[in-house]
Amino acid sequence: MPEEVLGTSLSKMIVDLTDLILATKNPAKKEELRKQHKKLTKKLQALIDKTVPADTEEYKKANAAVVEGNMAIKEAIKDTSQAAGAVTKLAKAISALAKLIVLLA
Amino acid sequence: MKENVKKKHAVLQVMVGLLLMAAVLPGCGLTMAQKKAVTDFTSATTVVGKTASAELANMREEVISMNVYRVQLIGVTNDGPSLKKMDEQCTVEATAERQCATEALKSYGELLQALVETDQTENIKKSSDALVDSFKELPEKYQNISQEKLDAIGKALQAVGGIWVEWKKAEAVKTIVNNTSAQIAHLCDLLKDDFDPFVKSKFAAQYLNTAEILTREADEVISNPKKSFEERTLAIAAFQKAQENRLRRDKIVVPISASIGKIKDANNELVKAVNSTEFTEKDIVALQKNLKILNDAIKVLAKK
Repeated sequence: MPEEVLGTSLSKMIVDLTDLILATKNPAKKEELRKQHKKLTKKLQALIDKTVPADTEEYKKANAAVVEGNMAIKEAIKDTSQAAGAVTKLAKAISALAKLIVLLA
Repeated sequence: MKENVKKKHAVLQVMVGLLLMAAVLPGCGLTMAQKKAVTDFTSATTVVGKTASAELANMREEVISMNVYRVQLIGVTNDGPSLKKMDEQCTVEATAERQCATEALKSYGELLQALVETDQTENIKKSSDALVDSFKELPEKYQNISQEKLDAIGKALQAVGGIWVEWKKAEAVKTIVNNTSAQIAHLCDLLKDDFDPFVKSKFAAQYLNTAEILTREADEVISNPKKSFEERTLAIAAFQKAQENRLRRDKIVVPISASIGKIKDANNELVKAVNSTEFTEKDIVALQKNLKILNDAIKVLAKK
């Protein structure tokens, strides 16, 4: 994973997501966020094994989705009623990361 | 003739007396509602005691495991973990002390359960010895029971058996609950704090603090382009370990702390319940409220 932007923002996102899970009181939302946490951790593991070309469309999309997801998590930590919005953004980030990983396989 | 009538009268009086005792004494045993209250309470206490004990061992192991990662990631530094003290404050002794306390809680539940559920004096005696031993083995700061009270428990249980077994068992339950209530409350207070992640320098807080530190250190390695592939692979494994442990805060640690707090509340209700001749609906509601919260927490723990 020579391109550091994505890996760094992804690990930061997982740390923040852990905080959000701990802050969320709603059990269903909490469970949903936990599932996404697992998926993102797997993606981080997969990305470390790959050489990620930063100039591809998939990379840019994945990076943008992670940045958006990160912002949504930070908002939701401040106000946990926004957790549903974070779940949606996270799903997009997971999907974009999956596409990138498939491309690199 | 007069003598004969007198004798007959006396025999009749004794017979009536015996019949009355036979009719009244079984009724002096625990009522169904009291038995249910004791059973619900004891099963919850036993589960929490066991779970808390296992979790103490787990937290210690995880602190060591996370510190192994820290040494691998950052090496031995002044700020890092000491190779001689990889378990930090979660030492074998500190863990064992707390496990004595959870064992005492478990034994308390098991003895009450034996008294309510079995008529086998051997089982009751075994559970009673286990409780008294577990109280005696408690480290000083966990002890809050006099020798006099411990003797009273042993004495109450020696008497269990014979034809008035239900009445004697009820008396034994009352004696145990009354004589141990301060000790149980004390154990609950200390253990609750140990599992409270927000009470600084306590067991769970230290464990979670190690997870926070490992998160930061692993994240720095993951984000550092100068680090090798092997170093970053290790950092990701460390990072995952740290996140898993951080997430145990509300999945395991907090429910255990809350459950222990509820055991204390429910035990206070139990004291009222076994001492009350009129165990009212209000008493049952109060006890069941605490037990419901306790059982909900146990369900969460069972899914861990």
